[in-house]
Amino acid sequence: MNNISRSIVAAALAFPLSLLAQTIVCTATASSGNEYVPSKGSTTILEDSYGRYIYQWMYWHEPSRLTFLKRLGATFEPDAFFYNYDGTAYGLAPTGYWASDLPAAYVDTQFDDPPEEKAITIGSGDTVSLVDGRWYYTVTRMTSGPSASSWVKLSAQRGAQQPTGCTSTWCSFGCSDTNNFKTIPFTDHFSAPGCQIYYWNYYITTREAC
Amino acid sequence: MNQTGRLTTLILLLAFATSCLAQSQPSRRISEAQESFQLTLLSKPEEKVNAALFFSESMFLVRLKEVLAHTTLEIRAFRHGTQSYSGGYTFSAGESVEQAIANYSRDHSLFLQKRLELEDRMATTAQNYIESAAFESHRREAEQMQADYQANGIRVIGIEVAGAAKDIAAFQQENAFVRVIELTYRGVPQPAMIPGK
Repeated sequence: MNNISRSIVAAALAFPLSLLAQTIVCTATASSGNEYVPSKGSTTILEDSYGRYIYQWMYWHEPSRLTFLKRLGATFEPDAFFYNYDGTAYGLAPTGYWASDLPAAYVDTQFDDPPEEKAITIGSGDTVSLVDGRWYYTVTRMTSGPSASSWVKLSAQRGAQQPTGCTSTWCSFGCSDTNNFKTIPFTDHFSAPGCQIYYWNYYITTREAC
Repeated sequence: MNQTGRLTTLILLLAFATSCLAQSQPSRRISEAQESFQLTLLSKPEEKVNAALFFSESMFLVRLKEVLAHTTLEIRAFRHGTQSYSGGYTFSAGESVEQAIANYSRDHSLFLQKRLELEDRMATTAQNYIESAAFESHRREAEQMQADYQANGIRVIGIEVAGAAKDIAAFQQENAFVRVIELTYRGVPQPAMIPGK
């Protein structure tokens, strides 16, 4: 099949899905269905004389914790959401400098996102290359919101290419909200600026200030 | 052909299409990108489009600044990276190339140094030898990146631009280091194409 034919087929297969929703329901994996949530992670949100920024780190301690992400076509997005229900989000959007050692990293956009929670995300487009026993990080500057402080939620979001194996720009969908895992929920009242660390099904499951 | 035959043919065709789609190779992404851009160039050469231009090899920021001094394209972002890390700089509204390059260099250096400081603090929370070793390894990578930056500066592997399709094509013709032009779409994230991959 030539490239034009492949493109036509890809577009024909992907188009109806894009009409339906920006997310898809991902099939849960064998046991808990959470084999994509990092065993440990941390975020540091600060401000310097040039603006505000956010770091995230994540670590999977054993291979079984990466089961979902090792599947062909999986994607992973460690989201940070700034509470904006009252219009006071500390960070509004990624801007300027960013960096990461997640495989095939990209800055996610806020297209179609609800305004109540401002998402700052650097995702991985090649989760098959993730390995256990290794730290990964992301960092980006962000545009400043009106407030000197706001709550922050961290969420591990898995996604999938649809159809599987299609890496074109039309084929990446986040899994629907039921497949997200809040590693630091808003109910913790963790506020930016600050630093928080979480452990999930590691030696312990807990969250605490750095 | 009877109904069963038609159904079998359809299933075989779908299976073939699926197997073709399952091949996720950089070369396929490149050919799809080229094809898509050529279609736009032929049908709507004057239309303003957003595109990522990935290079055949990395380029020093200083050299890139010289190249961009002669273009009318609107520069939206720089991209850097290797097989093991990636990053970039997205322009603010109204930010000039000169300002962006200065801010990009400053932040690259600042955030590498800050990363080292923060990871040193985090390393004290390691739960076992394996996690400690992971911290050490991550730190060595940051130190290597820092040394590389001090020796060579940031090496850019791509830029994101906006402009008429025909102007983007002309930019590629004038600059042989532009390996791939990939149209970008609002709301769609895009990992970099690493030189040589």
